[in-house]
Amino acid sequence: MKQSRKVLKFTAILLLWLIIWFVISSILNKEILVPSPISTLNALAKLCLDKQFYFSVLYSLLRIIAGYLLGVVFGFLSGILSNKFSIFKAVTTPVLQLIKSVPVASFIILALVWFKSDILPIFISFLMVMPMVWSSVETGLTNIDKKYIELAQVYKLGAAKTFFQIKLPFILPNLIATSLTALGFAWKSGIAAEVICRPDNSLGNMLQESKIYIETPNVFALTFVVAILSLSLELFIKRILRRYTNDIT
Amino acid sequence: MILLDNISFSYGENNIFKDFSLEIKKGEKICFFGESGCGKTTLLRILLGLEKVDNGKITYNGNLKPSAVFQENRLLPFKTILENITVLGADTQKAIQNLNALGLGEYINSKPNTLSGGQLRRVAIARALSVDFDYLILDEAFTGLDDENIKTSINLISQVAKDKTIIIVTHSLKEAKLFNAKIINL
Repeated sequence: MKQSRKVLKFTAILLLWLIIWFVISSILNKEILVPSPISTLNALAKLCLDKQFYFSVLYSLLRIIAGYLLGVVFGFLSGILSNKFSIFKAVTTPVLQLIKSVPVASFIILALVWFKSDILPIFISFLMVMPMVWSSVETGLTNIDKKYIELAQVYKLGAAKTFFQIKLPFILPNLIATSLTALGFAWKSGIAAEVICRPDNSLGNMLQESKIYIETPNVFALTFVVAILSLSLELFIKRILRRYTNDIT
Repeated sequence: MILLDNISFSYGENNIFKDFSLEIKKGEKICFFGESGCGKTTLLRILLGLEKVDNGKITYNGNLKPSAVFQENRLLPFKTILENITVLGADTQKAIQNLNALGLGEYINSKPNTLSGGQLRRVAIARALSVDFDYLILDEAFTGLDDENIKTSINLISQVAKDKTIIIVTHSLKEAKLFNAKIINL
């Protein structure tokens, strides 16, 4: 009963926004500015019949997931090193601050000089994710109540057991939340990088081409695809993490 | 045997001990007594290797393994009661036996946040007794327990740690007497 109510509520809200969209596009009556939901749906249907579209989705996904995973792994290890060695923290903090404060577009333009267009979205996604995970791990480890660490010291648990049995479960909830937020950032920045550097077989390149040829319904349809992929990816990672964390915590 | 030889310890300008010496024999039961802030807990922390002395020397006869009931329960919130004990290397059967003896058998698979303060205290006691140890530190171990549970806990400790060294900090002379402990005023 509750579930069907939820579905009904969601459908009603979705319908409301579709009507608002339809009304706006009807009032403006210019497909170039705001295409109607119907023409967007048409564009989406055309995309679905295009083989190239599926290649673009697949390669964009692979690039962004690669950048994301690299960011999570490097961020995780750097967070541990930062917590363990104050010299590492002192040396790397300015770099971390720089990455956090410089706009992503500046990095994309700068990285265009360094990397091939295929690699650049991976690098940009990595760059967005890594500092977030790094900070989460470093802060999480610093904030663990020392009393639990003393417990491990008294019973001589060893570094590995202390980390996996005590420290990791303490930082995990916050780390999961950060990783999921970072996934959204990776996705957005990765697509932005693709739009600017236009690698072959990429959603970003398709978006840019649609913009150049003023195919606004296509831009809307592609944006819809990007949003759906982002949500699906988040749900998928959430599921994996939940299964994993149940084992650890 | 543990030998504290002219140890000194201070927190900044605040001298806690100066040239303090003590010999703790194997199997001995010792109770540190004194006003709040006189350094009882600090002394226990030194004996557990959690604080380093400024001067003096501590000698342990062999590689002695400690176990402790701290002032706080220090139970990991994400582990079950049994896991909280076995994670420290305790034998599962021994842990279950001690939990049963303290009336906690039905809670072995519960998480700490589902237990009362007194029950958590008893879990901390069961944990300290379940690991393999040579000397046991009890820092206000019975705070929050009623008389009946204090008696049960002391009986179990006396039985499990019969031949082991026990070092106690308590405000209750009654508890010290139940252990037949030698009282040392700090």
